[in-house]
Amino acid sequence: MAECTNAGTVPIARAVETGYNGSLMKPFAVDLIEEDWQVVWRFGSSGRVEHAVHRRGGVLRRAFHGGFSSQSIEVASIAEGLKATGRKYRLDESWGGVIPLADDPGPVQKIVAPLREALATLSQSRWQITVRSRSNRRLIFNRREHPQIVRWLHHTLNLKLTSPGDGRTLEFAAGSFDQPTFHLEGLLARVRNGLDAEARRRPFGSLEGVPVVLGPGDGAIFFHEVLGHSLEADYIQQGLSPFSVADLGQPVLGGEITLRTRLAGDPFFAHIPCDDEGEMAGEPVLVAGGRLRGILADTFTARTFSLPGAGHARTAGFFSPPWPRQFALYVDAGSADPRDIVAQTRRGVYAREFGDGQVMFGRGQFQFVLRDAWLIEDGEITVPLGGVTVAGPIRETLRQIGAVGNDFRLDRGASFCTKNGQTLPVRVGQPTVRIDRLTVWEGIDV
Amino acid sequence: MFDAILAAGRENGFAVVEVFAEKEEGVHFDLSPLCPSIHRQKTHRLAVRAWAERGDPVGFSLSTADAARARAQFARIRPLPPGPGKGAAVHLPAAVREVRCDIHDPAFEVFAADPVAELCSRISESLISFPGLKLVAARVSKTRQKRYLANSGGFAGKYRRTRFTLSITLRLDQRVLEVGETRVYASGLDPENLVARAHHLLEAQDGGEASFSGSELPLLLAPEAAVVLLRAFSRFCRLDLPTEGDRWVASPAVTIADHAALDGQVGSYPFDDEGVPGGETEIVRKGMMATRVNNLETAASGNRKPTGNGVRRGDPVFPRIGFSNLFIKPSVIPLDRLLSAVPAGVLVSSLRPQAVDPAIGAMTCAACGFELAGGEIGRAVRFQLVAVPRTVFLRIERVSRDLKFFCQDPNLGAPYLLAPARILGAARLQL
Repeated sequence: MAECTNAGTVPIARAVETGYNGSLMKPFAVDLIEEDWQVVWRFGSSGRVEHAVHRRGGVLRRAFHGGFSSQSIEVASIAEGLKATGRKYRLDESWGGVIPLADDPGPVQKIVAPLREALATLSQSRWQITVRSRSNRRLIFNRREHPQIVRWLHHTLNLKLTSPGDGRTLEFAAGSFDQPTFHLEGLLARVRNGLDAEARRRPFGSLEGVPVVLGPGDGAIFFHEVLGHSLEADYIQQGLSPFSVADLGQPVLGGEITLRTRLAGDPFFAHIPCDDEGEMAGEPVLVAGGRLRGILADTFTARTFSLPGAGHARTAGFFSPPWPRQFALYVDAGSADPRDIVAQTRRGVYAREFGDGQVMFGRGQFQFVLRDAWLIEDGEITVPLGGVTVAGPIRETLRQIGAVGNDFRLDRGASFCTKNGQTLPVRVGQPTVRIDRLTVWEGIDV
Repeated sequence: MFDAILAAGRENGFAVVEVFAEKEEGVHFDLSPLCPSIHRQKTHRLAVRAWAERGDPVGFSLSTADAARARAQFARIRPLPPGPGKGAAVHLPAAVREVRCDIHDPAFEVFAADPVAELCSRISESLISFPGLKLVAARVSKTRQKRYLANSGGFAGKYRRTRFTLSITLRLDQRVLEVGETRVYASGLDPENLVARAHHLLEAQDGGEASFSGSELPLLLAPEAAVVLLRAFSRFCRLDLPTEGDRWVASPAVTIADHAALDGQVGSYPFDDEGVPGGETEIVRKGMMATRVNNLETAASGNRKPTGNGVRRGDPVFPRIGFSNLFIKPSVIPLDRLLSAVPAGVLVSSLRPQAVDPAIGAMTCAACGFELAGGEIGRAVRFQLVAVPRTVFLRIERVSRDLKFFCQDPNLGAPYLLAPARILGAARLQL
């Protein structure tokens, strides 16, 4: 029988009649050859250890000729993928790479030893530490003469604490690119703060129409969820997004706020020159002074909407065609002192740690988890509220940006995004930002 | 080939080796009028788990089942230092026990453009019966998995299974809804029923906010709402997660089972991903907790018999505890008898979880449904439903005989459930 998702009601965004006729779009083709290598170490408080290495490779061949036709084939290596596709590329010494966390337990145990020692004294909870190193390399052949090369290395450390009685969990994560370095002192401080907040949390039911102050760095996940997904061109094309191309040039965010999709010097983009169709992203500014400047499009949707550039096609792997997706979203620093942002809030919520979010396009609404939220009373951060859920209408909430701080920070390097069941690392960054009106519920999203 | 991999493991110092391989082929049709597409995939994975004499296992996974690469990977990894566990290796099955399980459609090969076009025609024809209902997108896919498992104790087994999925996005006025179904057999796809169910749900969502009064109200949960509560309850059915000690977890009207050998169900398998035969486990029997499902590791550490619920859903190397087909057992009571037992109440058509309060474990859901009066369905209403997953089934008074499954990973099934709900506010109920 039927299973149902995405239930809801929403005014459909203004549709733009493009007069698009697929048969008239110029054909194009992309071959993506991939090798992925992951090393996972998992340590549990019971003493159990798990170690696994995952190696995967494959080819995604995709062509557009009035409609898309594509094929995914699993192969053992890039070399086999080149053979399977008949493509030519010389894999020289610079192509290889050793994943830092390999099969010897020594280095990773050295990394987690201080954390394990501290956890033994901090809490009665059961804990699990997962350290994951991932190396991904892609050769992308398109209309260009030479293939594009995309490489990324991502290391994450995830800590889960589970209380013995009722199974409640606290989760913390940290990540890095290129080298597996984790700021363990900072992580331990977050754990101590989180345990303290859990022990002292004050029930509150719900708060309607209150300001929520998002801390710097990971707080930008809010913009990733609420604005970023709404600007993915496939959702706009299907009429699901509350935005449309007619919003280009229009004010969509409150305040003089600027968002961009790429940041010079961010190690996340060190070896990612293009998207998974081999297209370079054009203008990195998505919103300038509150006005919409761009949409996140892939080749097909860029042509459909006659946009100047594409560059936002991503796939979790060769086994799936790419869709318009975000790589990164950064909120430019503003001018406000973050201490003043809190001091000027009579009653609201301050968020230090962030969880997942989701957009319900069918309703024009979003939901977002704040894993560690605190009450603001008369300009002071007072009592912990524990994990809470914030929600609101997408367009109206984005116009409620009340203040933007001057303390820009990148996220902790462990942000991920799931779309249509495919999970990818993403990057966000922002200063302290205040949203002036949100509904806040006790409890976190299921 | 598996023998070569098992031998390579022993040569590299491992006492017990297990090899799992999966080949998957599929075709996915996106019938969007804006941009139709067809995607073909062929993937295969090899996953190896290996134990030393004592301690926890290590493992690796590779693209392609290639003995030479597996040998090279064995040479790189090392057995872990002996730990506290004696390991689940001692419990790995040594032989395949035959469990008949009908999960493969021989028509897989011939299911292509023509049957897909036929499904589209049926969707279009059924829309005629619902003025205003428009098709936004439709997707059809077929996949076939061939799975192989062997271990150094002598186990060697294989099976194959098929899945056909139909998913449609429909619009009614300003509302959009995606619905889908997954079947073992292509002939089981029912677009007419899917369209009708979507229309029913879209109408429920159009309801006004409810205005309940009094202290209590009978609630009739439709199967697709009941499985939302079953999913939330399911964490208490696993041996690896902490639970409190109560044995009474539901009313005597409720029996919950996990059954891996149901013919024609998408969650079924003849043996789990560790080789333990699939079968039925009664988890809750007439309201009392009976057996929580496990995998070999948790069965060994809890000194329990394995239930055959080790699955490689997220992790190809280390099977975790998972469900196959988890469902609330139906009774013999027809739905119309349950309806007539409700002089005034609410039929809950759909539930969408919003938040869980970790302090008390209460889940708040956005609910849509219809008022019920004298066995008749009335106006559509929206409200909030609060339920504590651990105790939600304690208040169930009756269940119907109409069991329906929804492939939501895992495959979840429920009949209609009748329970009294407490009225907390004009548009807020608690189970």
